Amino acid sequence: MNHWSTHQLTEFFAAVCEPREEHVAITVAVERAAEVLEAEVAAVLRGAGVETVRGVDRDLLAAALPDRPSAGVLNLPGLDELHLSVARFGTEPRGTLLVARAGDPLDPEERQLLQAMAQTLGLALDNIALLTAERRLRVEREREAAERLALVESLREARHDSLTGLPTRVLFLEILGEKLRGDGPASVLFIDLDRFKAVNDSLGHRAGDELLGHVADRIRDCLGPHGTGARLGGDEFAVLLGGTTTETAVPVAWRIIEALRRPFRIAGRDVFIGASVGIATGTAGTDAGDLLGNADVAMYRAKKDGPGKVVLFEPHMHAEALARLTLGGELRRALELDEFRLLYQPLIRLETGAATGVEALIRWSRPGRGYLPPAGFLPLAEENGLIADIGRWVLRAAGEQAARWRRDIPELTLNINISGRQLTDPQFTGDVERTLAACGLPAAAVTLELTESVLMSDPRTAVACLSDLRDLGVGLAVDDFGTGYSSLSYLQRLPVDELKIDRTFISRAEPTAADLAVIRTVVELARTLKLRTVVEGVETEEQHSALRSLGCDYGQGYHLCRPLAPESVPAAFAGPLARYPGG
Amino acid sequence: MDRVVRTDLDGRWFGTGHSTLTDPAAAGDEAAAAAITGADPVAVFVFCSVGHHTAEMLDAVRERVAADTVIAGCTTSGQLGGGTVSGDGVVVAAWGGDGFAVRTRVSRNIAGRLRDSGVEAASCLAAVGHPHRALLMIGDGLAANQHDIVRGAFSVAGAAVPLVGGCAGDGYAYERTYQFHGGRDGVEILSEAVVGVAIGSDAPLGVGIAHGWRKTGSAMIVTSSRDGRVHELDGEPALDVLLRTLGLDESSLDDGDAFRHAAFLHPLGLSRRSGEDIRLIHDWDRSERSLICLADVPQGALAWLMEADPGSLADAAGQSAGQALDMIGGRQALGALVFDCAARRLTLGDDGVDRENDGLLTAMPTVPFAGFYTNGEYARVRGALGMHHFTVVTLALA
Repeated sequence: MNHWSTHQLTEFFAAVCEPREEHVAITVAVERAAEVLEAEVAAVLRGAGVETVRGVDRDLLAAALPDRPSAGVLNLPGLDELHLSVARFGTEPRGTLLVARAGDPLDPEERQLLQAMAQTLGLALDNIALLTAERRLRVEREREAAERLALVESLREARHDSLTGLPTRVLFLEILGEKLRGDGPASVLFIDLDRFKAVNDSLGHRAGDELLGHVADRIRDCLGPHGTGARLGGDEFAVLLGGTTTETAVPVAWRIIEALRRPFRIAGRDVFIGASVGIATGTAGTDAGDLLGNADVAMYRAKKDGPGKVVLFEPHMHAEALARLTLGGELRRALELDEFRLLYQPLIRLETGAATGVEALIRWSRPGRGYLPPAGFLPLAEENGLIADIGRWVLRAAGEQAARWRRDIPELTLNINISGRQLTDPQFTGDVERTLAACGLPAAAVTLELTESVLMSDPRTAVACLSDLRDLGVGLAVDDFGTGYSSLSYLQRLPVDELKIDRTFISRAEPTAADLAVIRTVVELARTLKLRTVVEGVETEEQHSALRSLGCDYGQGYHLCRPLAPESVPAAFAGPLARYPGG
Repeated sequence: MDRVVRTDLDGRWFGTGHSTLTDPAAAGDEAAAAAITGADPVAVFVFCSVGHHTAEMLDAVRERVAADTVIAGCTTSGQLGGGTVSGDGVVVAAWGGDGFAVRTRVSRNIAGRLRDSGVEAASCLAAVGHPHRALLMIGDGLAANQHDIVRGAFSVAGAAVPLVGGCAGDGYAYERTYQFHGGRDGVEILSEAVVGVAIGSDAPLGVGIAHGWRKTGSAMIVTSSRDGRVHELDGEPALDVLLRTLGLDESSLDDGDAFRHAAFLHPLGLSRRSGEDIRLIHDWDRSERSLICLADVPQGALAWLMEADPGSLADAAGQSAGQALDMIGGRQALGALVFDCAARRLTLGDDGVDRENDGLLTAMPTVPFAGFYTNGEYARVRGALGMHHFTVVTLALA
């Protein structure tokens, strides 16, 4: 092959080997062969017939070609007589590269070039087939790998918490089950975070998630090589201590509580939370789910006892848990069946002995089972959220009642107790506004009482919520003042009108000088902050006269007046009640 | 010499008009009035200088056409018709009568998809079923590799249908060219487009291709090139080969215009069985030592440096016309369209252009013809290639 042909072939080779798909390579080959050899027609035949053609219609060429084309003359409609040249390429199935041109047939040099082009095309197609197979294999392998990875990920996700990297409930129960099938005891610590919701609500979910990550780290740090931590969901964690008895588990629980009590640096500020821990220990053969359930029951009890407690599971707790469940159902029914009643305890102006307002107190007598004090069901209602419905009922019932009374006793005011959950409910202010409007009760006639512990658990949120209520025009009171470790700085910033001094300050029938000193201090503080004072639990005349002399504004208590059924209230407002025995 | 500007053969007619009036509308009207003398023109071609390419000029042409007349055309680097050549002006060629069909297809926004644009432009052929067919293309003369347009068009047209046509010019400014396409209801003025015109006729169509160049020196192999950029000839930097062959030294590159003129007179000729395809050396890269041509110079091609004298160049026009007439097999030609390279007009000068015109008149003494100076010529009668430079292409209708 001469110099010219070599370069033509080099160019052909480069063009034909560039494409990644067979049909493109063949199209290029046909096009270049026609151009280089100046042929009117060029084509590639493979398998059943004409695969790609240039210069003439495919069917026309197929019809004009013999079964096994070879060099010769080709007649096509509209074209002069053409000289056909063919070159075969590839292994089975073989292909044919052909050109047909008018005028002169290919000279020997050109025939050689055509043959070399065909062989080049064959090589290029082999390469493309190999590369395509390899590419397909690679794609298949990559797809399989991706599927495997996705499967592993999904399994991992089901068994590992993505936020903390700790095992989930599913995996924890598997590990626990495994441990309990072996020998020796195993203890489970059920950990519930205190005040986590407040962090989530005030700093946002991202901060909450970050906090959970740090909590997981600290729990891990508290565990030895035999401990396994898990995140059960929300702000609940669990720890499995293999081969431990209850006695050895308790110090670990305290270590965890201490670790979680230290401040967390989240979103540029120190965040304080805490934890309550329930512990249950099981021996070989115990069901893993039951053991975790027992620890949960113990944790509930710890939570109820106050923040930062460790409680060991005891069998009777199950009965309590069951009772709690039952009570929850009964509370729901009570609302539906209208079983709640309200009593009204007058607030007495100590200076005059006259009743000026009433505090609505809820009462529940279960049909056939008798009276249950509010402390027996309100905490559960607060816990399960039913308090919102109960609170709404109280507000409406007391509001309607007070509005009726005020037709004859226009100065009568109404105090209503509000729970922490109600306070932070974004709908609450609107509910109050609508209810008072529906009852026809002016906002100024109503004072909402919130316990000091509710206000101080998250004072920042409390200030914001109280301000909305204050804008409605209702009065606000701090209930049970003196029991909740008030921050005086916050007390000053809380938009309240009234302090209700807790009954514990006057628990003695005859107050001592020390008792009176404390009360005097509170009264003076209230005056400074321009707040009304109400003393609760006035049960003796000694208490009554002592408080009056200290300058307390109002009092409540059996000595002044017992809580009254609604029908007895108008009579209580008929004259001074200072010695009224009540009903 | 008096010119035949119209013919009428048994109801089939062909007419040309050429106006150099400065007002575009008036020029359009004058040229169209002269060209469109028969009833119901089938096709009207309008070639004009940049500046005359106004809507008003085309409106004047539209007023004289029928409802289904095809109007196509472009801006130029000079018009020829009626025996004269103009720099600024309008040329109109029209034909009509029995046994003709013309269909068009425009491919727009062709940059970066030249091959597909050729396929699209050629697709109008399917609508023409006459025994004699040709595909005439009018392309944007600034499109990069025009050869790809031909490749695409050939893949549709096939070997039995000749290709002819030319690329629009802009008076040698090389900034923007315009293509026209429409009919009586409106004519679009486009850029970056290829207008495909499928011509069907009951009578033969003839195509002539000639350039008047002859080989000089030995054949060289294009040992390295990409598209229109020639890196090496016979393994040596292409610019060095050109300098040596022309007997010039490096300093001659300092005067760009002078060197371009010298290179102009020595284009590359690519070996073809039917002669040579001319590749004008349009530019060069001093650092790369490469030559830049306006159409592809395939690696591996056999090439010569070409030379010509003014006489042979001018005579090529007559040769092209003669070939076209030969192809119609001795029948009386109705008319002809001429696509003549703009670089030829520059090289020939005024005297050469006159001689060229005389050549055309001599070859086609009774045939009206019109055409324009192009930025590249399309012509394929044999083989699979069809992009030309420095060439005269003639389409004759019988």
